[in-house]
Amino acid sequence: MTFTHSSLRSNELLGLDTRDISGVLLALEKAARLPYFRVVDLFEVFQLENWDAIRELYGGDEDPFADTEEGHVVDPIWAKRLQKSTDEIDNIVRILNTLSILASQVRARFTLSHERIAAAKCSNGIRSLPDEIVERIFQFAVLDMEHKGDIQARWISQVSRRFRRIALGMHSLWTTLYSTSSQSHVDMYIRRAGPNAEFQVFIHLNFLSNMRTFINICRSIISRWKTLTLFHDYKLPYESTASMNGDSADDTLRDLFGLLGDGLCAPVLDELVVRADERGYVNTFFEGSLPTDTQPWAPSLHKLRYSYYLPLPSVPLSSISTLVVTQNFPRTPSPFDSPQKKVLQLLLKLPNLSNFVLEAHEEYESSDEVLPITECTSITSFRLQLPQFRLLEFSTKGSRIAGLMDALRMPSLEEYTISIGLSIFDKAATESEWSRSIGHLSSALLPAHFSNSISMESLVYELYEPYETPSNLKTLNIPLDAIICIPSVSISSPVRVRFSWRVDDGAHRTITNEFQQLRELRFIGCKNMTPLDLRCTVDSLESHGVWNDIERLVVQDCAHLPREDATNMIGEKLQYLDGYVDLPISRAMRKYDRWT
Amino acid sequence: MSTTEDKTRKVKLVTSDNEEFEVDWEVATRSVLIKHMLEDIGESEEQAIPLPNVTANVLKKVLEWCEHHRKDPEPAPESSDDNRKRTLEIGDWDAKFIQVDQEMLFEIILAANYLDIKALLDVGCKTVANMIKGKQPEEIRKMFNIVNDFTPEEEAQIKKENEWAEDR
Repeated sequence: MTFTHSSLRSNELLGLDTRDISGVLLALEKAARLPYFRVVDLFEVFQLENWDAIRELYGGDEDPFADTEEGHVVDPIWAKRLQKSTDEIDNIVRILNTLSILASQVRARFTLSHERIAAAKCSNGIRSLPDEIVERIFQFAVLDMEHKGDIQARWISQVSRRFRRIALGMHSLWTTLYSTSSQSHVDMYIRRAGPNAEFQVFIHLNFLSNMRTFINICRSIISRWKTLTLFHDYKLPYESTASMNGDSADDTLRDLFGLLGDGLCAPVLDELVVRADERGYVNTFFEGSLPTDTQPWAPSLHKLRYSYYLPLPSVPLSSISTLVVTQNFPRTPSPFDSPQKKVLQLLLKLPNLSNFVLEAHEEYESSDEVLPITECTSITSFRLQLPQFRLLEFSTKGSRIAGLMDALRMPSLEEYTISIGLSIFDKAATESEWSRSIGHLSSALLPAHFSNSISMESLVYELYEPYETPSNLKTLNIPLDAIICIPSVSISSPVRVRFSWRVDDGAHRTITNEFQQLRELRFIGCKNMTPLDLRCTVDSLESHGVWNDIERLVVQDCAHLPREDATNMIGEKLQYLDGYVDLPISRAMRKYDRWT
Repeated sequence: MSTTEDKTRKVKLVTSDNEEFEVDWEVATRSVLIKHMLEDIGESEEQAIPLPNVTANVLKKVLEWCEHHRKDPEPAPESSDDNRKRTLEIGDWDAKFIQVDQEMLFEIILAANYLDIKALLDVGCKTVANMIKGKQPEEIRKMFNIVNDFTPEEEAQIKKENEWAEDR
């Protein structure tokens, strides 16, 4: 019996007896259910000799078709039997193929069900989370998203009815406004944020006309702007009708501040962020278009964050207490002020600045520029970050940062943090080259005039290496004369630490020792520090007569420095703290590792 | 403020599946709930604290976190300005700790919420938030096996919202 889909449709088969065929399925399912099925050798069970078709044709002593190659005529009965058996085998193959296809479909359905069961098991969790936890999750999900926080909030609200109900009930989820969003969109966000929300506003400086429309939409809520971020993308063309007239992002900025200065007021605006791109060297665009005085339109502005942008306000901005600058320090043609000079000029325009953070990207080259001594009397906290710092380049070519640090005077400084992330390029440096260079760098970042900073309470010195090369021959040398007046010094270093006088001058040493304030030394997260390293550090302090006045030596998260060894060595002065420390420098600098 | 006596003290915790854990006072009191319960029962060391909402499997994981963070300073109370100060950063150790399957992740979140361990709750919530970040609605549904249960009217509203977004 042969039939195909083309010759007989399923409805035509209704009258046919297919019990024998469907019995195949029953037999298979029964076989698969056998408890010992897994140990059955199917090749043995189904071996060719067990097939009737084979036995009937070849089962005798002689192969009836063996001599056909020599032209013998085959017995027609055998030929007919061969044809019949071949047809039967064809049918078996078709049955098995169909079975295989259908079995795969059944298996796929089962697999899908399994996945659903597994997912359902997982999702019980998110379904069972109370609304207040889901709210917390949503809040985190839009955090750090910058201008994309608006899209994320919308996507979250479009997942399910529950997600939407929770999202729409959270005013704070809708407080990110972006200048390139459509008018309807901005209106929707403002509406959903409610009447009391404060907004994080992002303005894309590449799009002048968008910015103007946006400001118009926002007029009624400018009074509730909390942070304002202005950014520019050099990869995008400047798009505006004015661009044909040679306008630039700087014009958008000027236009924006013109609009804001025109009677609009942002009384709760706390932070202004301006981000150009690192390729835009100082003054190539953004020619300092910060409004001359932010006081009238942003009286509560306290924090400025500038990336690759150094404006020079014409009048002092007295409300500013925090300045965060990310800047590269390239070679600057002579008619222009260098970025380091512009940093100093900007600082002078911020008379009430107390917190200053500078992330400097060096371009190593000595500079004969003499920077004016700049006294910033209000700064109490200074953090200097040097990511991907190339020690050997610094050592051989000099540094603009060194010049800046020499000129910058902060007589009221209380807290100073130095964060150095070393470049992978220095991995090949010899131990002596490395140690000499880091010594020079320490000296440059802790210039001699620091010993006059009588208000200093703490110094944090963090050194981060992106590679694992513990070596007992590498040394971080810290000038004692710069730190001797600081009560607490905290060090995180992957290498041995030593202290030495910058100039080994006995008289200087005696005078300085009289003013010694250093009472506490902290070694935090010094992953490679061994008892021998600590011994060498203490020896260096003892040899300079400083150790006796130190009251406390704190050790924490130094994996190779066991408590017992440290206690035996340090005695009563030791404070050994348990616990792991997740150093901020590791997180801050690690983002640069992937670029090296 | 914990005393020296507190630091040597042991606390017994009993889970919903009747497993008993004996842990250091300093570790157990990372949980504000347990801390308050201990204050309520006073000096009675023998009395076990029942935790009917936490299984042994989950408590074991939570205690691992508490052990690691036993020296951490007490978290400051949340203020209205907290949202702006928060970051999505998770410390290295916490990031490794929370690499668990979704089922355990949600169990940890629920346990942290019940036990009132804010820092652990944040680690869990940030982890889920990171899973959501950058994902479109359908991707979020797939990630957490959420059914799209919007009515046709709601679907139409959402479609309109998305058309506005395209109209930039």
